[in-house]
Amino acid sequence: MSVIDSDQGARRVAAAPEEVWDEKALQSSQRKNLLTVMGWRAVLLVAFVGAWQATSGPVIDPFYVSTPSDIATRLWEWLRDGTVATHLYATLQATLMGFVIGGVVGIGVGFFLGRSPLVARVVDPYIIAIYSLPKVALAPLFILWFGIGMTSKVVLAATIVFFLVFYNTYAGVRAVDRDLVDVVRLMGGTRRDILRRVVLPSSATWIFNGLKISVPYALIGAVVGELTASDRGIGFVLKRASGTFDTAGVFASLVILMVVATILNQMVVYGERYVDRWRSTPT
Amino acid sequence: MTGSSASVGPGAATADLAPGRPVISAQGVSKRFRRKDQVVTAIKDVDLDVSSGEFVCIVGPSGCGKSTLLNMSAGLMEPSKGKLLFAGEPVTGPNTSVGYITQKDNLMPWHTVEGNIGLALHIRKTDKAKARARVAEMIEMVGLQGFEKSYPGELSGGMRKRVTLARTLAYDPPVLLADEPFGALDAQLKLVMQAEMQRIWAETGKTILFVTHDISEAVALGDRVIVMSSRPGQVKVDRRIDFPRPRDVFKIRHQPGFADLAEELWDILAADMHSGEDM
Repeated sequence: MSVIDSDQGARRVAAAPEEVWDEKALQSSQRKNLLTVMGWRAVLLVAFVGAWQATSGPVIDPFYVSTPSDIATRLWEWLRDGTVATHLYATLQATLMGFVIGGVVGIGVGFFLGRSPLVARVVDPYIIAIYSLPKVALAPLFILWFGIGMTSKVVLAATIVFFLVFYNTYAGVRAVDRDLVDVVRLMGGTRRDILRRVVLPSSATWIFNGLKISVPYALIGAVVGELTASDRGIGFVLKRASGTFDTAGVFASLVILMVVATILNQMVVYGERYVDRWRSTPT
Repeated sequence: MTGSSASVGPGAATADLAPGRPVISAQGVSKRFRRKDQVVTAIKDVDLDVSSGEFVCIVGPSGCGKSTLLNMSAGLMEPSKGKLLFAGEPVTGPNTSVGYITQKDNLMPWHTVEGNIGLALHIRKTDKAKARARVAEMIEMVGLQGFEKSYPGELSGGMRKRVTLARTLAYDPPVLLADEPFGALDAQLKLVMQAEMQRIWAETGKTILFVTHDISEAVALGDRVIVMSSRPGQVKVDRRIDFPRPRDVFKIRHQPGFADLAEELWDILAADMHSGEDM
């Protein structure tokens, strides 16, 4: 026991003198930095919107670029008459359902093929062939199959998400450290233990990465589906505005999509922080 | 080879682990690997008996198949030729009676120190309160109090090594396989860990098969030192070490006879050092 005591002693000595750090200075300089960054961001935004407003008309034809004030007015109208609520709901519903279905199936198939190398080798060329196809090109087919309603959008979004999640899951399961699996086997772990204690946590980062990159793609799938043929959704509103040469409406739709996509991505960032809390380097 | 259907289970083995009985018995064991287009013979016709309660050290040039021998004892590999018996039974699957301390620390990076040390206890469905007490005991033994909630990525190499040791000892396997466990540690910590290893061995009566590249470590710790030749690895010398126990690993190097013994073994080892191909 004495040997270990000496080791602890060393640590106690190291921790003994209360070190005094100037925490206040550190914090205030951080706060100052943040304020500077935020300040400049605001300046940039105001300058851009201001320049847009000022040049639209005297310099550039508002038919093409509209004006920030017209866009804001349009957004306000849409918010009040329920356009945003109705169509955004449709788009988000298709996005979410596509994301969940594609994600679940992608993780499932990724795990299955990852744990069955022989089957994976057999189907590999076919998966690569389908993967190589630009998935949005499937939109017309899905509309043919499932009609212009919600289903075709969900299927398109799910297909796109599936491949992204599947590939990441598969790679993650294949990348599991064999040595860690052996550790669990020597402890008497069953296949289920190996899956739960090694494969799942080890591939969690990969799976999460797949899910993360597929969030905007789920939205793309839904919107592309709506653009192709639909009667609802922000994609539908966007296409309708464009068809009636309503530039303000087009920009207003784009603003909605941008805000939605940003919120979705931000949610993913927070989720990732939680899942990956064991990594010492914060992202 | 599924994890659960190992023929050598902890229950089956304990009956035959009476002191003095051979625990690990290699009989004419050879192992070949296919590496790219070449067939490499890692070890050839190795005969080796490790008795219950013995502390056996293996030294040899790198690539002489020391790790291969441990992997086979752990049931992670099968011999290409010959027989490898554990407590009299052929090893056909993961051998759950051994605790294997590998060169790499192989900790689960997503578990805390506590989680890693308790891993085997959770897998073996040990009672929660008992498991917690055992984990705390192990943490104290390796001197990692205060780091219970740390993740392996936040620890130094030496601390990770201690977690590995604690994790392996936590479930109390009757046999320990150690593959250069202290190779990456600094000289001082290495001595501390050696002393700890010897203490655990003396207190628990475990059988230890300990691979090292450090001859003085082998002589200081082992009841026997096995010197292996370069690839294909064969047993060159099987030398009994008679220094009285308990040994003071900090001072044994100055004991009469130690230097001569180390030099003798070194000469045997050195004869092979340069004839061996690189890993």
